[in-house]
Amino acid sequence: MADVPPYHYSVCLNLDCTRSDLQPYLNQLNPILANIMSIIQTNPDDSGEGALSPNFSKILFSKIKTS
Amino acid sequence: MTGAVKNLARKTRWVDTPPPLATAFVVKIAERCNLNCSYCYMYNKGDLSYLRRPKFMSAEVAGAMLTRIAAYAQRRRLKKIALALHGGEPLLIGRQWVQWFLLEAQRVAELSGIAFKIGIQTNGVLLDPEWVRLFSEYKVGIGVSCDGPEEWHDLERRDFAEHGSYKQVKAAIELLAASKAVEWAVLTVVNPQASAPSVLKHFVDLGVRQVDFLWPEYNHDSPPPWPSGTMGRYFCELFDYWYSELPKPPRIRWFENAMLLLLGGRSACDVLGPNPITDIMVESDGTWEPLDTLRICRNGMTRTGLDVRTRDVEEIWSVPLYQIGLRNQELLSDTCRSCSFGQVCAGGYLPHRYRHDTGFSNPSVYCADLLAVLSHIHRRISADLEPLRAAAASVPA
Repeated sequence: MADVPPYHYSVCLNLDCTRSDLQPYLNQLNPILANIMSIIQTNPDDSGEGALSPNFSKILFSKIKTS
Repeated sequence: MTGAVKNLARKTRWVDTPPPLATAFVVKIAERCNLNCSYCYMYNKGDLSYLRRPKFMSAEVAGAMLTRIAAYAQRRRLKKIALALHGGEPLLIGRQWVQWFLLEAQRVAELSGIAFKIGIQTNGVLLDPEWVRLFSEYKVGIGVSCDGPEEWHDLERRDFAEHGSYKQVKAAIELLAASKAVEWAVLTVVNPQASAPSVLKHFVDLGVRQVDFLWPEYNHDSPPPWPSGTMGRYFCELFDYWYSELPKPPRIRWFENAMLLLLGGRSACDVLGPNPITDIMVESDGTWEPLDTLRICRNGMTRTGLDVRTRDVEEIWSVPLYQIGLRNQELLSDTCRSCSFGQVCAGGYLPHRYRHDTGFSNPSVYCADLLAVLSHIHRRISADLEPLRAAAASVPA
């Protein structure tokens, strides 16, 4: 149980890649998982209903360029 | 109360810095029920407080409560407050009372500028088209309790004459599924002897789009009747079926929150994750109380004597048991502090941590089960994310 989150995504954290580079892989994700990730992506600062960590969007998505 | 809890209560002063603020209130408008479910934490887990309370909340109490909550929200600059109408069985209070309450809430909301988001949790037995119309008109979200197929549901959810309630509840769910005008979901208390996939498939077949699977209320003084690991196996099977087998899986709050936490996000519920427990209960006699499920720990444990007619919401901040909920992470056991899943499970649901001599400084009574299911989910989503991670790693910098 050493490799537990939030460190799980550390590989993605510092990569300078574009979202379009990863889009084919994002599209193939399990839809439930993709949905959870999109919730996190779209509500990074929501502290009310569906409160989510800003850290995660930084970890995966903010560090992936959207261009 | 243990010494540690007393010390925690003593050193906690919220005068200058308010604690994490409650944005949700559970309102016990009826403290009697037309069902007698064996696992019910209100009536069948040792707490007898309900015997001293009125069967139904009075309009006087409800009005005072709304005014106090609105004033609190204004003082604390909160724009939106969730009110969950609860019981017992809240529909027993009658349509006329509920309609009055919804109108009164609307009036207080308009006066105060505070938005009330209202929901109701019902056993479904009395739910009919008129109720659905009323809830649709006032945009009240509906939660219906159902434990799956008839043979499992009727095992526990029976009336006082021992008749199962499945047929009525199924009709209620079908009514909601046919109505496109209300937001609704199902709550189910897990019986791990049932087949998890068959329970979930049953809900899918009924048109349920959102369901929460609840871990039955046990703690170290009153442990679950199943061998350790039984619940874990149930939840692993449930996860696999939900995650991989269904073309249109419904939302399952427990799993969604587990995944959020495992991915480094934050939980939006109080049963998983290191959140303070901020929710405040309002009993039918008009007392503010801490988390209602804590009453499984000891008879009368949640009583405060703080009356909504004379006391502001903030006065509950000085109640030791409420402080324990707010600061529950400070009471984690050493086992939880050193656990790899510490920030995901965070000790599990607070009532499940209780033991009479050590209070809440214990791992959950479901510790082994939680570890099993969280490890399983972690393995599954890690494997699914591996191609994405590999792709990211292969992109030239």
